[in-house]
Amino acid sequence: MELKTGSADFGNPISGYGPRTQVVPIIFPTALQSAAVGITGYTVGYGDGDDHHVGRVDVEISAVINDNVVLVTAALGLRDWSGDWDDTYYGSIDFAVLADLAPVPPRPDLIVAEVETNQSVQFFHAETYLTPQTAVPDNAIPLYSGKNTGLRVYADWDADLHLPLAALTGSVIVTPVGGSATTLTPLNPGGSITPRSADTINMAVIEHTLNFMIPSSLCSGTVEIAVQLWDQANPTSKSSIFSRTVVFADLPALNMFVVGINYTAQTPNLPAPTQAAFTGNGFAYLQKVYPQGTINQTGYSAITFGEDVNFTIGSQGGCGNGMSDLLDQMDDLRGSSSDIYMAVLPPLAQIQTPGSNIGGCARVGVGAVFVDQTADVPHETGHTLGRQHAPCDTGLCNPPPANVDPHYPAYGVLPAGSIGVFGFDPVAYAVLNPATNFDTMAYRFPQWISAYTYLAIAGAGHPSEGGSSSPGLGSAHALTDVATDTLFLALTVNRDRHVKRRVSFHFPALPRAMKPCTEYVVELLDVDREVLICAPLSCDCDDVGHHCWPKQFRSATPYPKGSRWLLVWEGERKIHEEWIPRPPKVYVERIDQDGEEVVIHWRGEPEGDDDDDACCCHLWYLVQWFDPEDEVWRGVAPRTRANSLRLPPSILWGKQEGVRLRILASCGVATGEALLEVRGRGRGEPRLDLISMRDGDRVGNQITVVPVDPTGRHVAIDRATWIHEGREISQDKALNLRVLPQGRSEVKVFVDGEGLGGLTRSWIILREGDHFSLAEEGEQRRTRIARAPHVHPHPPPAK
Amino acid sequence: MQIANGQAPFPSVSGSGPQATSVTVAMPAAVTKAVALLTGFNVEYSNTDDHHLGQLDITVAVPPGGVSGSSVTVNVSYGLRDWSGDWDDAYDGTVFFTVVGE
Repeated sequence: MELKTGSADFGNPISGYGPRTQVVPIIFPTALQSAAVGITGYTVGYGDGDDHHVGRVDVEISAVINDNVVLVTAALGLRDWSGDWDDTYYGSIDFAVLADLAPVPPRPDLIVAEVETNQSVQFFHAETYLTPQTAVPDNAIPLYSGKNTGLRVYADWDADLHLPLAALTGSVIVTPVGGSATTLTPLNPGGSITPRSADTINMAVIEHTLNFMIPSSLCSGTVEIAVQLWDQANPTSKSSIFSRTVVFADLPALNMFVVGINYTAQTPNLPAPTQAAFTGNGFAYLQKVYPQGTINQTGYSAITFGEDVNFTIGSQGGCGNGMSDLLDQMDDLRGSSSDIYMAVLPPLAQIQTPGSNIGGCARVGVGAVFVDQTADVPHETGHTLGRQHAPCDTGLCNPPPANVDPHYPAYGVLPAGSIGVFGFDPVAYAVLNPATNFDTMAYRFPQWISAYTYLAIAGAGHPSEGGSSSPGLGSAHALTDVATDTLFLALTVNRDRHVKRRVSFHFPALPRAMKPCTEYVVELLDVDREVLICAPLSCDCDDVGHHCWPKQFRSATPYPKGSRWLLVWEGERKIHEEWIPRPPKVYVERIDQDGEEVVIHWRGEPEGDDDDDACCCHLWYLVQWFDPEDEVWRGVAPRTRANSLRLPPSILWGKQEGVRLRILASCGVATGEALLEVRGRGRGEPRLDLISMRDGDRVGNQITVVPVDPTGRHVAIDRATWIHEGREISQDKALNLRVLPQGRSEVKVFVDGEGLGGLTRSWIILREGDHFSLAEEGEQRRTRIARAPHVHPHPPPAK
Repeated sequence: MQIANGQAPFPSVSGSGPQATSVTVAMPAAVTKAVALLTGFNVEYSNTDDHHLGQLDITVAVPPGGVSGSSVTVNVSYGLRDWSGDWDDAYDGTVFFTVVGE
């Protein structure tokens, strides 16, 4: 007799229906003859510390045998007799399963030969199609936490034994260390494939392997997987079990602040895309191809931009003045944050003029995309992380890519810019062939991510596979998390070496990743002309060609106290020198606040020295707000010469106390500031949105719920529970829609989190074959009030 | 191993508790020993008249001599009360169990 224990977790406090039910599979090594289940303990309670009378308590379990699995159905209900399950309740039921196994020897003709673990791309049998220089061992690419994991099971069938096997199927049992087991069924249509010997498997054919997906919620820490195969018509006789331990590595979150662009360069103006219009599609695709399982949206704002962004990209590359100025504005908004700032323009189809071939633009830290160009999102995001273009075979890209990564591998006989290895998309259920798919940083299509770029984005590269994506943080003895006063210097250098310095600001910020231009440096000197710091500048030389002028420099350079001279050198030749006057003074004149309407007014005074004309310069201002969630200063709006600014209502939300603001003023380099505070509007109600590949109402095979607060920030979820027909079908923020039946289904999600409270929302999903669409979106409802938000104990950093 | 499921319904009562009853279940084949496992309960204060929870008491057991061939007798008890009065609130419910024998 075998004994196993399990638990049904109803830990998410939920109201509105009952009893709640769950099915918990308990897996045994072989088929079962009989099984019994008994309760060993339970917990049940009203949620939110809000007690009530007891009207009814329902705690039940039952068991059904399915071959080697006992499906334990657990039900839990708690209510009083007022209302109709209107009080939140939660609990758990612990149980034991006693089972008699049916001893069956493994099939002699069937084994699991190998298992490929593939979250986006993976080396597998690479030696069969790559050169020894580029081929690396099977499954060499690490697995990352929180990301769906595809499993391709390579079965080996010996037909010579003449045992019947028409349709090969199987299962994967996934068991986190110390956790409950989950059984995965094949993704293959019909759940089976035609059996074959391993040496006849073609990796490019998806139906030559039995394929599975470990959902992202199970992809963390150490997980045991056990694979077993059998004839779909005879589940009692199985292969022996193939076991493997897989380990998921944690990656830092990829944070992105989204800025919708109200485009006024044409008439009629085009309104800014909403955050949902961009995030739903763009983030879904980014999460598919990037190693980070979750892309965090740290906020959303909208600005107006009136310059034409159309541009003809030739072999010289570049983005044109319009896009370049837009990226400068993103730099202003980025402030001291290390987040990616992504401008989202209205649809390219409504903006593109004849001859313009620009589809997006980015440089380190900031980017711009068009809302309808989802495939461009990983490309521009790659640029924001310092990635260069993938190469293209001569004549096959028009225009050819500039700024080509010289280290991009040549993958055997595959075309230049190939993804190099086979990709796998377990959500869309597709194999991506390296013979016909190109890297996200390429100019050829269709695209997926290459092993090289994938590892580079993860910062975990094999020496020949991309390396770290975080260069420029200084020597090994530098502390990388200390905010230092930083000069955000912008220069234009013409061919005649005339230097035009854009008005620049300095304020405390964490060190920035930069791609240094070794031939140009900036020096900051004290009043006695002693060098305080010499730092390389970062320019667009690689983007637009080393022999093309003017060159644009954008650098974040430490700004030592006492800096009074700024010099720029090209090699040994000084091409620019200027005196840095004392910083200007800024005075807050008044604050007009009426609900959502807040306008701040200020006045600036240059503080020129006697021996220069700085006192006559025209001040620029940069207004920033302090984001207490991330403890960074973000730009309210791009720089301005005005003396007043209307605050966007979004930044007033989410702050129980005041919103801290600072007004920076500069007419050269020296930066003065004034601090002020306006009343916040308190915590607004987050809205539950969906992230999924979308085309109108059509959605992908997976939807992910995400709460978005009024500032546009994605709010962390502690628990999510998806319910269909009264049964809890997923306890993850993501829902695999393939578990739904054909036709219309109502799915409801309950989410819960600190600072979020409890929220629920429903959707009607229409399934037609393997296509899914959103037929209806239900109203959102609150199930629990948020607990008091966490207040950071630290004051904003003083300048 | 032989397995059989059973349940014990308890009608609405007040004034005493816990209630007790016996249920005989038929196993698929004869057994010589057996044990009862609790698999659930659905209990409530009757007449949609809710009260505080004072005590909930449920037991299932195969008494000595409860096994006879393929028949197994299970003793089931159930009580639900608050701490005011003395079992003065009507309660009812159903207790579910499984008998495992060999």
